[in-house]
Amino acid sequence: MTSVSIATQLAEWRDHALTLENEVKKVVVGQDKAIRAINIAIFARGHVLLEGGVGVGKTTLLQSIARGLGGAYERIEGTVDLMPNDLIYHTFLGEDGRPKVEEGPLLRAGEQLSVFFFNEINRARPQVHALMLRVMAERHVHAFKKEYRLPHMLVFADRNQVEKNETFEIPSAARDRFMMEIPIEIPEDRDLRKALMFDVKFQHAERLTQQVQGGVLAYDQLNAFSDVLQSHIRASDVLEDYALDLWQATQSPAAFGIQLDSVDVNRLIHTGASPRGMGMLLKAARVHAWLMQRDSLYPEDIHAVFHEIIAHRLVLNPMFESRRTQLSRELTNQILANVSMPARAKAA
Amino acid sequence: MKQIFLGWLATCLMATPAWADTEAPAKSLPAVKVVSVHNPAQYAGIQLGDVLQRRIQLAVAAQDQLNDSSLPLKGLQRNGIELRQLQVSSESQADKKIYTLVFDYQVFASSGKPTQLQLPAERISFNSGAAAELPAWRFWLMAQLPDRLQPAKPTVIAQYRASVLDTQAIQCWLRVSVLLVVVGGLVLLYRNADWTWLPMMNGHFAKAYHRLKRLPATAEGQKQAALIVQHAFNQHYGQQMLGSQVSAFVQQQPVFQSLEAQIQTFFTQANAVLYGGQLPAAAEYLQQCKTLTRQLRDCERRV
Repeated sequence: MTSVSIATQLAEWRDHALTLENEVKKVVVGQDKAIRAINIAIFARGHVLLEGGVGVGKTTLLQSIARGLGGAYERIEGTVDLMPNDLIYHTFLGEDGRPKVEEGPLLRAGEQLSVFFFNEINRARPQVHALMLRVMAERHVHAFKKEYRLPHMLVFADRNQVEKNETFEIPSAARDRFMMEIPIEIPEDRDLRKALMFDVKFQHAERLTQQVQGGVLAYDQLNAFSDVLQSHIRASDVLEDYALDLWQATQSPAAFGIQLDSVDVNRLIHTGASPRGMGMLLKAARVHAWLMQRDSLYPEDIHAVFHEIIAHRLVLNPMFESRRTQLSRELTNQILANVSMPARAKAA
Repeated sequence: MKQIFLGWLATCLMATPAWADTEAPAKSLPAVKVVSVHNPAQYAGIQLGDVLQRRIQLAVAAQDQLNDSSLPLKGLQRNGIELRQLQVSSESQADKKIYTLVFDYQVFASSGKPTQLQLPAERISFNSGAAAELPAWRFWLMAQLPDRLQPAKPTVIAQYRASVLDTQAIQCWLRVSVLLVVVGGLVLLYRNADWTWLPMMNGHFAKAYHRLKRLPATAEGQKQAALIVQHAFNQHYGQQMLGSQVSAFVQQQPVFQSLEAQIQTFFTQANAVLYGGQLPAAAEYLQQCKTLTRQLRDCERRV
């Protein structure tokens, strides 16, 4: 592929990506940052955890994304009695009164599956998590004596952060499979809140998502384009040093002079970011650079996705787990503020 | 024979009073021996106020004693010569006693022409009645005053203060000049000094400027320049500073407000240099960094 055609391809896809963002922004207000993060995850081909309370618009957001993305959208609710096979198949009595078996939500759409939404994943048992995480990693599953491939599937999972009864916390190894954890927060802007309350169009989620232009992106070409994109965006040695410092700071924040107000930072971190996590960080940062019409990585690109990619990967000591959301956000902010460019070795 | 005896007796009887006469005076006036007399070394050129000393040593019998009351009193004035001090000491030697008398005279006479004066003769007597005399000693008193004495007042010339030049204006100009030199020196020091020991010299941009001056105009120097200035911004901002944070930076530190556009340009170029993009010419970029850092340093010093 020539450089001219690559440049053209990058520009065209960028237009599509920005169009998708704008389309979703029309129906989901006050979530621009989350929409940009999801857009980045789509092009970085990473699965996403959604963090947020009840009724903040997560489902509407995902349905809108799925519509713009094209392909099939499937959803399953996490419950305490959900079993792995519920994802693969379900049984019922047919019209002829005989038992029948059909493919479950994971297999139903086959290769056309582009978005799989696992609502309240932490209500499901660890067995379900295990299957789901394996499918997320391998993007195929063996069932009905054949191999089902899910090459275009992106998993979006939601965690119920409020209730702790009858929930199964996702272990750190499982969280690491998700590229991002994106906070979906209630908009601060008073006018937006007013619109969400009084504008009736926001009361009908299904009708709302119909307003999104369908098939903005060719979901089945995203994998190939992602490879082109990732190989096109360059990182200088200066930026590599900076990223290495960031990684080290997730493991030993005190070494970078990072302090938190209410916590002894030396006791906070059990394990920092994983190599897979840092790889995903750079992958997402490259997509951000591409969206910003650059072919080189800047620190801004890393900053733009750092919290979403690193925060849920940090393994905190058990005593701090109950404050994970607050502490991890505080820590990632401090890391970005304190780890400076140029890298420590070059500044000395 | 009888006649001879009578004749001898008569002779003896006649001769006895004569012997008695000769022996009696020797017993009533015991001998005083003058051992030594020392007079002043100079007898001429003596002036008013000079002290002249005479010393006499006398040897008398061991049991004899000096009659203190016969000595002249201290302070006695005789013809302009005052006895200033009289010291008496004695020393016993076998069957005699040696007295040493030291007379200190001070001259209080004055004259318009040389005059001959004398230290007075002194009589020294002892309890036994013996006495010795220290003869007068003459000397010449030199003239102290001109021949014709006259009142001093008519000859006195009135003293006048020497007239001085008016230097008040010059002193004023001198003070102003010194003040200007000091102020100018300090300003030059602040603008050009790289030393960090001066107050307010230890700024991050001052350090950066100092380091920038040493960089070569190469691609590596260009990169180092971007890193150095970036580091100075980080230090000032208190955290990692990005191009998107320039507005926040100048709001936080309004002293740099006037350079906001230049700072933004720096970050745009630094991104190209450090992370990839269209590189400016190395020498030109280095010069731009130096200029900006110098301006930032001046803002930092509030010059």
